[in-house]
Amino acid sequence: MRKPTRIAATLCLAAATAACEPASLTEARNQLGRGGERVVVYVLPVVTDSAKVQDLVDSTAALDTISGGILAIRADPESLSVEVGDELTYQDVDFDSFVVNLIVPPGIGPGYTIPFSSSYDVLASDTVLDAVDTVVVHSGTLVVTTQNRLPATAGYTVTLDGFLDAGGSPIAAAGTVPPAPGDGSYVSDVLNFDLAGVTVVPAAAIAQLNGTATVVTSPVDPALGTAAVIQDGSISAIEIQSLTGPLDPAQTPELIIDVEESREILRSDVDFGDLEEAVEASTLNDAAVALEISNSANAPAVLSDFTLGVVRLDAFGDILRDGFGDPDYEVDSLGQPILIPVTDPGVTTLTLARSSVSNVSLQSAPLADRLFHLLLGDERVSIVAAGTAAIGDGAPSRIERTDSLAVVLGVTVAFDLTIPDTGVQITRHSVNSGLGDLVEDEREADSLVARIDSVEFTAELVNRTPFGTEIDIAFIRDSVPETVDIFLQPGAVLIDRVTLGAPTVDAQGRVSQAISDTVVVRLSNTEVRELLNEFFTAQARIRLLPGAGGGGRGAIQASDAVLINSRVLVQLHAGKSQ
Amino acid sequence: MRRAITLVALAGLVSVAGIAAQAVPDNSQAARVNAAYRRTQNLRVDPFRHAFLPGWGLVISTGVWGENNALNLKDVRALEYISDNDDLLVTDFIDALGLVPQGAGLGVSSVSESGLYLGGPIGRHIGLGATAQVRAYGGGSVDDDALAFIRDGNGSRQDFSLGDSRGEGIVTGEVGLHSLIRLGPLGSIDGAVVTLGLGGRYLWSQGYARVRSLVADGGSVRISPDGYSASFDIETLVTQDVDSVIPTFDRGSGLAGDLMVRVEWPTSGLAFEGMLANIGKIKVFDVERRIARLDVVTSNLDEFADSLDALDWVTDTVDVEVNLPRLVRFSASGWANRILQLDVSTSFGLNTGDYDLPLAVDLGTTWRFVRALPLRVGVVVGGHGGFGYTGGVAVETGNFLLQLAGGSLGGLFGNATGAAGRLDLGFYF
Repeated sequence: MRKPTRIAATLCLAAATAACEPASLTEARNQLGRGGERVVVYVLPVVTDSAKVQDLVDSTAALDTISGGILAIRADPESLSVEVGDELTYQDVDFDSFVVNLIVPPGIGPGYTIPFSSSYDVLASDTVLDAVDTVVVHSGTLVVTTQNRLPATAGYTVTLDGFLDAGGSPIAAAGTVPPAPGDGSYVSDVLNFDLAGVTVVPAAAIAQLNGTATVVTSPVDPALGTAAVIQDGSISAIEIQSLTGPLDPAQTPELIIDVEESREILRSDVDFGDLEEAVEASTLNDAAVALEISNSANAPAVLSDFTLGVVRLDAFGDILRDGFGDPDYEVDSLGQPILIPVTDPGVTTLTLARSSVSNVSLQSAPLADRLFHLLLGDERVSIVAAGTAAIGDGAPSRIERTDSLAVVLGVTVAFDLTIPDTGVQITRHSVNSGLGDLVEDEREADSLVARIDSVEFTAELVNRTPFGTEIDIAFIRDSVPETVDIFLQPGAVLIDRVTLGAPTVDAQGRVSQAISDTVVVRLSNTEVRELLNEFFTAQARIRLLPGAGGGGRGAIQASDAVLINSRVLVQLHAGKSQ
Repeated sequence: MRRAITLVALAGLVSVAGIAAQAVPDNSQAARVNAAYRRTQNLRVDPFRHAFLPGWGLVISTGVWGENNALNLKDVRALEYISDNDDLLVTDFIDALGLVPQGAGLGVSSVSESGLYLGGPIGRHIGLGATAQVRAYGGGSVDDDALAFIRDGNGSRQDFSLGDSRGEGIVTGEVGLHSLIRLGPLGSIDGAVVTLGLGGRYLWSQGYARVRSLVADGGSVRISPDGYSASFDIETLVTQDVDSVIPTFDRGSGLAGDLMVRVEWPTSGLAFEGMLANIGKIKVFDVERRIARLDVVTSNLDEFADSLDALDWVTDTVDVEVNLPRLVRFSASGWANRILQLDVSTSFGLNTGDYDLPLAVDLGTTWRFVRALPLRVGVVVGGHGGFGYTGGVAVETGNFLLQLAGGSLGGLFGNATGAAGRLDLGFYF
């Protein structure tokens, strides 16, 4: 096979040699163009599709559809825990004092002993602890002071019935009061009882005092036998591990607790996708906060003045506070704090049944608008839940220190925006693969571009979104960082503004009548040249304009879309006259 | 097609019939030329080329014929020049596409052969010869419907197809035996001599390739402003490991036969001939077959491009039976005067498969100012090139043969869209 091929090639070469060899590249290329000049027109459909607005919301948040078919994003639920059990504290429990009178025989001398034994109700005067059946103490101390005015050493033990240790036994301790001078003045001894883990049964709180006074000096005035021994006690602030009984805030004010919890909302928790800039420049008209409140206590709770608000954080992540130490809530245009009351319908409180889960849905557009605008402005903010929780209703109940009101807060923000008449601008920056694969190198790109007479991109559009748009596009060869304003770059190609009319919307901002339009973009061959590279970077300034009839309001429905039928027409010339 | 062939054949016969009336003197060059050399050599395939040798001898022969209907030699040279001195750009190809005749598409065909012949006459009535040669056929076409989108765009038409686009090439190694039986002169000493030619060849496949559409009319491709649709099947067949050692004898084989009948009036120099060559098939083993099917309807340019990129080729290995490109030729010749012989022949393909062999008419003259040194000039009409020129010189003696011929097809020299060449060197005893 090779031999005849070589021979054939030789013969052909001989014939070719006989032909005139071109004297130059120009002549050679003219030779190839001898077929004559011709104009070639390519009409290529680019895309016929429906571009749904919801596809612009390239959001990590879940998309939802709310009443009226309005598109909404559902932010990831945030949780906060209102630790009501942790807040239960008893301050200054009244501990009754007790006086022991002894009979002092006249003429007694050193070594004479006088025994004593008494008991008393240590909580007889207390009305706070008495209101509950049992109290388990988390922390606290009972201080018992015993005084003696006899010139005798008083050894004693105190057993506190109704104050039960972990084993169920009454706590007890022994002490010794030194002899007094005998002039009527008292000397004292102090016993400290650690109440941590002690169960107090107020109804059985009896102190048993037993001891012996041994005279050390004489004479001893028999009158000193009156109120010879006095015992008193005090209970400092104790933190409660649990309360059981007919819990009634009216009887036990300690059951009325001020609560305040906050949860920072992170910037990354908010993602409006490509509509972020539009949201930032608009007002959110519709947002709902769904609260799921779980009351873990076996006691009902009533929340009063319970509100949700937005507070900025300082550099340390702490919420900002006003001069009174209260959260410095964000305010509306009138300077009023933007607070969303959390209540049952028609009342000013929210009642949570024992061991139950309650759901509350609140319209919170102002709060959400402020919250998201702060977040989009890269501010650190928290949602603050604050108010008063009253535990119990007089019926037998129990609350543990670990009991809390667990609040799960879900925010659903509708794409129901009010944008200014001048519109809002979205800027898009993208580095794109160019048409460089179509050509071998720069020279080939130049050569091809020299043949292009025109490139015309036509898009027939049906706008079924609540916005009109004005789009300015600039692109430039290669990859350019997002920080660069391509519109200002020398050599950038600026495309004539593309305007897409705004449809008519109803009072709620929903599209009532779509609008058809045709967009034509023409590129010169030098402009096309910028696309014939491996990469080109494009920036688009898209101005969303309000639809007609909605007063600037635009509510995006899930079905809103732009129907696109686009094609590109490329006209180039070929042939010898080039 | 058949009507055209008949008309051309009749035209040839009529013209030669007129020549038959002319007498040539007995002592003229015409009368003294060996009968074997009166059968004018043709640049095209001719299995009986050497069966008419005047004596026993050996001939080394090689020839090539290649043409297309778009690029001439200047174009080819321009492409070479650009490639050597610059880079070939896509715009060069766009320009070159403009050279394809609108409506005709691109057609290419070539044939080349090279071999040895050993044979000679046995008595007055028998001729016998053996041939060993390699022959390569190649041809194909790109339908105008397939080129039109790239060449002309879709501004004015939106429907395209692969049309009759196809291509085929085969290389064979052959050994053959051809015999002639001469009968006559019949009736009188001036009567007709009838020569019957019969030959057979055993062929070994050396390589094979074919590409074609499996869908009638080349399927369809529609590129309109509204969208794209394409539906076609493409099959390619290529001998595996074609670069391995050649010749080879295990890639398939086949048989081919050649027939010829020639009627000649020696004293007047008038002759008519009909030939049917390449009757046969060859089986090609272990051909890699790849089939791709595309069915796409979309309005999205990216999707369309992706579907082309994702064209799924199904590959297997098959044995293929290939029809050899069957060649039919009618010829006539006669002496115009004592030094000038006129020849006319028409060649065309018959059941050529994917090998394109359009009808062509060769008109040739042989000038024998010196009997043993003929000069040949002719024209070619038809084929892929349209109009071409042939010429040659030879030394034709009783013991030595040297024939050198060439053709400029489709135009003259640089404007030629094809070329042909032939060299025959023989020694006789």
